[in-house]
Amino acid sequence: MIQYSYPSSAFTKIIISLFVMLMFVFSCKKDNDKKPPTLNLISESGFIADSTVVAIGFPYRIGITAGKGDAAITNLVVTLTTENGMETALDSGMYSSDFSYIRNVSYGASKFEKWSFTLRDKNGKSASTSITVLKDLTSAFGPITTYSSVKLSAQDDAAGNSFFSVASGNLYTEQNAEANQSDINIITYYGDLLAPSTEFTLSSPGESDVATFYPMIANWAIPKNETRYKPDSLSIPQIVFDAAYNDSIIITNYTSATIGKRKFKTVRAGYVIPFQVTIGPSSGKRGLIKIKSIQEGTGGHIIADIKVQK
Amino acid sequence: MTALKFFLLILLLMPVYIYAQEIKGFVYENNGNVPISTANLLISGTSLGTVSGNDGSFTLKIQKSGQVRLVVSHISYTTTTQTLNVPVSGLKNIIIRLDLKTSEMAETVITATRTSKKINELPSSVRLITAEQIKEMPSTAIDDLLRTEAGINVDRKNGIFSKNASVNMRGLNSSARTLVMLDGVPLNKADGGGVNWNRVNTESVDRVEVVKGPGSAMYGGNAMGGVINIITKDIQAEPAGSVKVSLGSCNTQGAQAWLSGRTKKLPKLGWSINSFYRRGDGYIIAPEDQRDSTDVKTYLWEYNVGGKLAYNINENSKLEVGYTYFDDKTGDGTRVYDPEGGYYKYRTNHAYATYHGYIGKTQITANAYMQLENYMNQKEQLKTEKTPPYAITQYVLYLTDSHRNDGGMWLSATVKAGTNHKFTYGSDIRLSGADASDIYFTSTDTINNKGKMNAIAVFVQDEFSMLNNRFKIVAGARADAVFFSDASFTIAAPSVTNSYMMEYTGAYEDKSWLAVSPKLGARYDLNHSNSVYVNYAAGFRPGTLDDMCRSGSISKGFKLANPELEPEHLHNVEAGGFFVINKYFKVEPSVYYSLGNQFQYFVGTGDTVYSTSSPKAILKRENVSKAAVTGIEATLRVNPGKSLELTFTYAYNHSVIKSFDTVQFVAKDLSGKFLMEVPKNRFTTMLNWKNKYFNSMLVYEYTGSLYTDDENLVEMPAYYRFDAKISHVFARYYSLSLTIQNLTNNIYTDNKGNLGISRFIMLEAGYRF
Repeated sequence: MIQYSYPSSAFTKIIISLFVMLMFVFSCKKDNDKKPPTLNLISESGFIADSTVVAIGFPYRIGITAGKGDAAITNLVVTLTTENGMETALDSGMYSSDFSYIRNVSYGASKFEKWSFTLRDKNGKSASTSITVLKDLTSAFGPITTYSSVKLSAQDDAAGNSFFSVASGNLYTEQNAEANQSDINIITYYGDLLAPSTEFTLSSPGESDVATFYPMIANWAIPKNETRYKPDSLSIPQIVFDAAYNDSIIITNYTSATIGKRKFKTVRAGYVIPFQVTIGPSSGKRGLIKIKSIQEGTGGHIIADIKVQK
Repeated sequence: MTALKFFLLILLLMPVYIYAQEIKGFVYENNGNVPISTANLLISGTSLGTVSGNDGSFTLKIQKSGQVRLVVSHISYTTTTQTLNVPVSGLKNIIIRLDLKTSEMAETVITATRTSKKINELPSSVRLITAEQIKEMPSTAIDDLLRTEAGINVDRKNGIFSKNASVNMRGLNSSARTLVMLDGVPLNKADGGGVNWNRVNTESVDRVEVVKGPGSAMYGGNAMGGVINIITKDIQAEPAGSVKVSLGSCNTQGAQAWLSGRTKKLPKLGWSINSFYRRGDGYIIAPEDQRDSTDVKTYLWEYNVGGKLAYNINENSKLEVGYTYFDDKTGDGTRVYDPEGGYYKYRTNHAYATYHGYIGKTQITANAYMQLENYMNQKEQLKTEKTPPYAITQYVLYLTDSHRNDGGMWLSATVKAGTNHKFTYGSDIRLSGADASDIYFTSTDTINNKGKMNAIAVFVQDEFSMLNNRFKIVAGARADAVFFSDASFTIAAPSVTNSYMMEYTGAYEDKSWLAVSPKLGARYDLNHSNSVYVNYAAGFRPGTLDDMCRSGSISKGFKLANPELEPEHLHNVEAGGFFVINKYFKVEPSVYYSLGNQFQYFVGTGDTVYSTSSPKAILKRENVSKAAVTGIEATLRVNPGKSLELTFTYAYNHSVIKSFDTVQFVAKDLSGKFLMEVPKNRFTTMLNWKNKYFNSMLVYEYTGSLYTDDENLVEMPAYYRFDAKISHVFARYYSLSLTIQNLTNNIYTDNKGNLGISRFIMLEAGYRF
């Protein structure tokens, strides 16, 4: 007859205790043990070094290389800190293991420009780095061109001019815009056909809804000229706009970090709207539009003063 | 002449002599003096017989005195045979009592009144789905069992791959308007009002009780359309159990188990454990002509493990504790870069303790429970430009991580007063809260909302009878005081994408309100088989925490939290009955009219938010409308023979918005529009055929057309489906079954353009002891 020997009670307790301990040890990996992403500034030739001193308007290049830790990289935030505070230049979603990010910028008006980069991954782990560029205190602001009392019409004002060039200051009707498409940077319409509708709107050939009002733009050459507008329209008093004689106020309000929109949806009299031409022969030029008066409706118009970097 | 007269006299008296003796008496139900009509009385071995009248009385004439065997039978009662010694003078006032058949006796429910009550004694429409029916029905989830009930609309378009099922009743849309309980514990969550049907192990369920019409007088919030109580199997005295494994379409595999018994050393201590596991590859829900690389199969895995312990303190009192853990993950059918893609996930811990016992002659039931749910929903989206070449403008990956706690305790006491009254009274405390975050992986934002909804309630009920128990009345009322508190909506580290919501952040003021819900019903037994009832009942539903403290994008626009949201109320009057037409046909009709006040709807505030993607209208859930539901329900049961049973149900609902407050709110007038997602007509047929080779059930379900939007602009066409199950038990303990859902492969496309599940086949093998 086979005799079974049963383990003692103490033995059983030890086995169970060991099992429980092993479960704790090998259970989930703790958050602190998870490897964060890696982030390095690009220091190759052509990229600006930390603490470099440059003049106002000086073009420079910054960049980073990023690599994943234990999880995919899902977010990159780039901010610019100046004397006026912090501005987010990029807040981008992604799902990536490694990548490079390079940005060409021009120096603004502040005593310093600090570019910060923060990576986050799906585990919530992050990595950060920054670079600071300093202003040459002897450098000067750039000159500007002023266009006064420019009348820009909505789509149903057949005789009106809805198309404007920031380089030449020329105005075009719908009929003669076609022949001058490479010169056109600002277009106006009254957005009653959109859902939801907008009122008097500043746009450009590269904006997606503009062809609803001017159908011929759909067939214009690619890449179409594009202008971006800063959504914040109330931070510049009209009196400051009127007093501006160089690009100081322009580059302070539309910085290298500003995320502009392809259209400014509902303009009002008194607004001062910063903009930058982003695609086209005038690419890089920044400016301000002051709305002096407005006549609402699809046959209406705005009267504006426009100041642009030379 | 004298001889002739004598001869004629003999001829005249001959019939009297032939039927010289009479047996007179009454047929009653074994418990009480409920007369049984249409009982068949037959003298064994003869063709002499009669049928009992409405009052249960009968008169049976027999040929001669002496011993006879009287066989008494009825469709609803067990047949009895009595040996009678009939004297020459006959028998008078004999009482014959019949026992209800087991199936009829089983039709005792506890949900309608919180007391054990036979269905045919209740002044309302009540249904019971028994353990036998659960085994036989072609179901793959617990809510599938409700498909064949009149007045219940089950929406589980993706079959087992549905994130969850939606069950609504009595012409009222929204799962939050139907109270669902598991062993008396509410499963509706205060956060969204819905129920996670997936977490219930069908193998552990003993029966499902359905009380149609408002039940707030006993159970408080959510019980507007009705109450569904899922009751799990009791602990068994002897070791018992069942194990099942299954294989199905879409590479689905599963297993279910339930075991129960008592310990030998501690015979007063009983136990049961149950568990299930299921996984499947799913299918692609996007229509074939609209698919792109981001459309993937809706995968599924889920499991549950639970158990309970019961200790019999003495013959009349018992303490029971139980715990269940559920975990699942269902793909939403999209995947861009992340290996998990978009998914839904529930993790639920559910614990309870119940005491049943007596204090003197008062029966006490006390229950404390806690349900902790962690709901997670990962979304992965690629946003593109609206015009060609549709360039990708944004990639978004975020996780909604919501922690919901719904706990409470209730105490119910029942005492008999005199012979005709039974009083039930008690109190109910509910403590609910939600703390949710939208955690963006592709930006810095974490959007938080939280709030608490606590309630304290008292209820009272009297059940009494008159006219020799033929006239039964149930009256009751409940008062709920509800407190909304500690609510806020905040955003941590807002990015450009979500910074537009910052102006809506902040803490909300506390709020409280009171709801009183009465009920009154009466039932009159025309005879034993036929009865009629009328009732009035009120119901209410509080606003959900999601509506009261969460702001964010929804498909219609931008939803703004409304902490001022009031509960909606419903008043319902109903008349119905139970009629046995003959031994083959039974019919249960009912008609009802419900009037809802302060119904909650999304209305525009007149403002627009400008997010980075597009302008969105701001919407708020408000108490804006009155709704009216006129409904008819009927269930016809046909029993042509022992082996065949047919059940037909039909429900008609005319559910409309009666008035809409466009003066106070900026909104389109929806007066006269039909409530969305409520079919006007619904019809089911259930055929159950048993023979010595197999049991089989065929279910046909027709759902009429319905609107999927408040403005009644989008009408989904009517659809039908056939489900079938065939099963065989062999060697007493073993079983094999084949379930086919959507037999005709009739694929439904929902209002979001997603495909419903195609034909789904599941093969199960089981062992039961």
